[in-house]
Amino acid sequence: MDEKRLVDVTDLKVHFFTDDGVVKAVDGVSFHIDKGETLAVVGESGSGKSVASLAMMRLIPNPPGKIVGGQVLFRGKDGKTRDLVKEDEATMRKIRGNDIAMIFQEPMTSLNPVYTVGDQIAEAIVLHQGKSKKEALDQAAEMLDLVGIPEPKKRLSNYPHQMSGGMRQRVMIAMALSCNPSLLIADEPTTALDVTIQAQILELMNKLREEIGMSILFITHNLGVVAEMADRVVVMYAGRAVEEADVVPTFKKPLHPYTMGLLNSVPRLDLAATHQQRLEAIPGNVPNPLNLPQGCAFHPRCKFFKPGLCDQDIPVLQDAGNGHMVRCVRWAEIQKGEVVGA
Amino acid sequence: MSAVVPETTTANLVEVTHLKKWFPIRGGILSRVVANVKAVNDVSFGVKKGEVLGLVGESGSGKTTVGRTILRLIEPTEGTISFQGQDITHIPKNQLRSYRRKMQIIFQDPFASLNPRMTVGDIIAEPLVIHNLEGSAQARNDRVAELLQLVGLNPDHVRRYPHEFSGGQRQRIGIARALAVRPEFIVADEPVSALDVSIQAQVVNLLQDLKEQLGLTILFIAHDLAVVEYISDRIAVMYLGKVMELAPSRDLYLKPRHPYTEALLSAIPTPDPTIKRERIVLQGDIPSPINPPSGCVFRTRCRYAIAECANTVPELKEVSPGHFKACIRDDIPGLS
Amino acid sequence: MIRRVQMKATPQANRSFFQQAWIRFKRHPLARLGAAVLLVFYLGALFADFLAPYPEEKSFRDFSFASPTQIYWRDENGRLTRPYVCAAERRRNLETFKVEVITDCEKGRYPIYFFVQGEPYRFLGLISTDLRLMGGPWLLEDQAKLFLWGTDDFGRDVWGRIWFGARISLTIGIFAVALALLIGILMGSISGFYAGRPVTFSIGLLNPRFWEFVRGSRPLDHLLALVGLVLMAALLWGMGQGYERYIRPDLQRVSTLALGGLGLVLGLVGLGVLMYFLVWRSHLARALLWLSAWGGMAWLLWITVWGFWQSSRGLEAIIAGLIGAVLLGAIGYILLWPRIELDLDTIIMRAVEVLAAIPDLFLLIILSVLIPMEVPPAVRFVLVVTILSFVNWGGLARIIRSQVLQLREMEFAQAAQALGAGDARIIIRHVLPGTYTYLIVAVTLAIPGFILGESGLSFLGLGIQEPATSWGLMLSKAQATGITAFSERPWLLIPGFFILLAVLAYNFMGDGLRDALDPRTKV
Repeated sequence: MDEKRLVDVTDLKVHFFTDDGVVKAVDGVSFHIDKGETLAVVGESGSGKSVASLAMMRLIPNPPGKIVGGQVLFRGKDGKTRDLVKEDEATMRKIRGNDIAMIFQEPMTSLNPVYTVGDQIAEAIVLHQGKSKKEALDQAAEMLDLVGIPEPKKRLSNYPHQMSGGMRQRVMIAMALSCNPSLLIADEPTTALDVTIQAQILELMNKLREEIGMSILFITHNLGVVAEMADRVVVMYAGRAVEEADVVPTFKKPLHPYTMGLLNSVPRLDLAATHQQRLEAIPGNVPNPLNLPQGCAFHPRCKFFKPGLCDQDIPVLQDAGNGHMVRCVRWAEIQKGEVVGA
Repeated sequence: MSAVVPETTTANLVEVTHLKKWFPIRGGILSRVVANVKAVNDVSFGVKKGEVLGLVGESGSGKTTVGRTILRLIEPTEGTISFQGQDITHIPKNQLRSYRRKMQIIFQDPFASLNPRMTVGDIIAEPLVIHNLEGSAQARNDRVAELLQLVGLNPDHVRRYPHEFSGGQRQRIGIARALAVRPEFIVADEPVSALDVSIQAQVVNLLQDLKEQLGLTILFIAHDLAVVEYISDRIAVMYLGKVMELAPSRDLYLKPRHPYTEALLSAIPTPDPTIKRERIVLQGDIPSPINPPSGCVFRTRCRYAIAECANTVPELKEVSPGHFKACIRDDIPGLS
Repeated sequence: MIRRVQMKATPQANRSFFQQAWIRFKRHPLARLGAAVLLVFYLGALFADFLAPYPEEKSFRDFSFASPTQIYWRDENGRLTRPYVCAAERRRNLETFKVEVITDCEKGRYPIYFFVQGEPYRFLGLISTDLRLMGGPWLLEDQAKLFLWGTDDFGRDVWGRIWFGARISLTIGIFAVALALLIGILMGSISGFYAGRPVTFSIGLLNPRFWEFVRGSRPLDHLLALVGLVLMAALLWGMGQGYERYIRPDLQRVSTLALGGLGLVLGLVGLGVLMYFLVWRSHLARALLWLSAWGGMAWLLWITVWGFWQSSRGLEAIIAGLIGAVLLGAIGYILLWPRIELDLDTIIMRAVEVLAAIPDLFLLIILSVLIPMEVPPAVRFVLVVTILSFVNWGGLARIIRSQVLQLREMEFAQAAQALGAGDARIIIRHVLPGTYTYLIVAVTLAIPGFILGESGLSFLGLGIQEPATSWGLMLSKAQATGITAFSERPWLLIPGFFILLAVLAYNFMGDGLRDALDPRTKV
């Protein structure tokens, strides 16, 4: 693996075996994260973005879920490169929290209501760094200070319900960062928060990333947040990555029709003075994961759909230059502007 | 110059004056009221016939409570609500029924707002049954089919159950149900917040079309200022149970006059990585509505706050035609 | 490159909730076993006449406590043959000096035939037939008897009576649970729906709106109210008469009157309240409520005084008097005060708690004492069912209340309210259907309790009485003969195993149903 690479995910496949059939939640997803980089994975519900991140942590509930293929190469803090798909459970426990930390959408349910926040942060430190309880609590106070919680020493003895949503998310971040992980997986960390609080948390995460130098895998459906946070973007649809590029080309020169549609359907305040009165919506619905359309899964909603071409084979991910990857058979025509949407 | 009710004209279909809703918190063995959650604390505004009024605010701002109080799903503590010039604040339940035909609501959660044990046909026909509209069963079925078509669903799906539909389709069912009684006024309570990005736009467009087609008046409640800005003619910004600013939507975005609106606008991330704006990050949390700050409720997080802000409750006053704000400072550069 | 095979239809959409539940249920081996056992038991109860060689009440005095009849498969030469029994007689065993049933094959061999003509009976009380599973022409006449599982003290066949007893033991639970469920649904849904929302009545005489209402009523309303009142009074009077004549002829007239009065007031107020909610604008409902309250109060007043006067022995009169005094105050308050806030939830839930605080068995015994000795078995069955469900509705009411509390806050319930639906419609159409799955589970798990309750009562001699039978009553035979039952007449314990099996089977099935019907267990 390349020196600057931290994570290299290749052809990851996670399937859920249900009574109604096999749900291919993640079906051959590849991406990589460099050291110090923020990769955003964007997608709607059911796109498999959360499942992919859980699979990296090997936290897929089995049954019904199972990682059926692919590899997740990860360079640990000890410098060794491991394939996380093949590691045993004991090694994974060491990696979780220590090398890779995770924060979730709902800060209310991710904290245990019966322990103080100090205890919960200290627990991870005691577990992974073998420090004494007292040292761990001191470090926990430092962490709370780091994430901008005023009077950290006093706050250690607070219970989660005594804090607001934004505060709890800060505690979650403090907990995640307490063992100095090299990768932070943030699964919709601001979705449950108000915009003004979201702004605080995003600012905090950007600040911490620079200070600590960790990488972030940022999972979200909010394109505004992506533009704010990401260095690179992977767009997922129905279990597959459909586009991967640096953040500016993703927003400025998207090649996949789904990415384009997504960008057009978001109401934009910054265009308020000039915008037209209608949003350009993507027609149709997110497909049923048990019954994906044949060929390109997006073709029934695509304005560039060409019968006999798009509904045959699943397109491969192709390089459109400069590492801009796109999974569309017509990307070249679209790039040149040769096709017009129906 | 202080106007109690902005633009009190006869053109207002719905009018809310000095509306208050305090939820009592009971404690102790005698369940005495120990405190009140001041969810809505003296709010006045009017919704003109045929317009979309956006109501924006963060959690705890009381925007949802305002919507439900107007429909008398929640009884107001104080103040009056009038509809078509009629005071409906205290009319008894049986008279309220006829108003329920004229005022409807669309809910946020398309999963919780449809009874999972009823077919789509029964769900949409229910208001017709309750109000004895359309007479025969055949006429009702026709109307249900018509409504399904109106919201862009296949009329053949009447026998299906809600779980067979996606979130966006369910929201359409909810809209069809609200439209069944041919209401004049609709409270849309965060109708797109629970939907996927690509579906949000569909539903916003649908509401816009329906408004044009049916001449609806809509109170559009949301926390996403961008969505509200898109659909609304005017926007009221709420914070801790009070209206901070009320203005035509484009005005509000281009020339916010209230420090809170300014911060709120700048907090919304723009889906464009090339635009790097100076961001005002509000410090601290929203105070508890049980014990809101004295004077201006926003002063604890306001970067322009002065000592006087703690003493005076700012009134909503007109600062330019149709543009109201509740702030005692008129001297803030950039906001006046 | 992989070509994705297009699936024909969305499987999720095609499979209904109950189909999915069935799939989940089938995965539960113990639940399947429980269901199978119950199926066998209920079929056995249905075909009890067919399974039993003897009619239900046939007794052989000579064969009391006979041990299970030995069945032989081999003839004297040791060859396999049609199963047969040998002649038996009751005589003193000269080695042990005990009276025993001694079989002696030398005196006769009696082959067992299957699907034979036996004693005639009416299947389900309708179809005359005489087909029985096993037996022979010798069953009744000869010295040979066929007692698969021995006999009880009257020399009745335990095997047959197990199935006859199953008819009562297994159905009493279902009837009782149905009645308890009815009370539970009514109380639980009212309690849950109005929790934290006190209901305001404004019918008091001091309320000006009341007089407006009385003046505003049409003559027809008054007439209807009067007719309703008379009908209700007649019904309750009839019930009181029936109680006096058939159930407790030993009671004094005053007790009947007291109970009748209590019933009248409760019934009328209940009816009025119910109508008030169901058709709340109805003048009839209000008039009925008002009239019944007044009429009931007058009646109670009289009965209380009279009851105390006469009740040197009538316990019921005293109880009725006390309750009457409390009700008197309450009714007077409701009648006079202009505006009453009734917290129905608190009232109902406190009642449930009081009921739950009294030990079940104690309550059962107290109530059973009210049942007189000489009533037909059918009446006794109904009374036992009533008592069981009266003692046990509280738990179901609580379950329903908790569900209703949750469901009434669902947005679809609010949506219905916004559409202009009334309380009754919201409860019936939107709230109660959501509790079905939990109710099915709760009911399945409650049935064993009722079966045990009946067994306990019958065991103590307070439930089902001879000549009818139930498993609990049969088990009491084992108790009656003391500890020797375990060593010398173990077959008398067989009903106990059936109770155990039925209770376990219901519990297993309930467990499986809970997993199957819980919408949170996703397939």
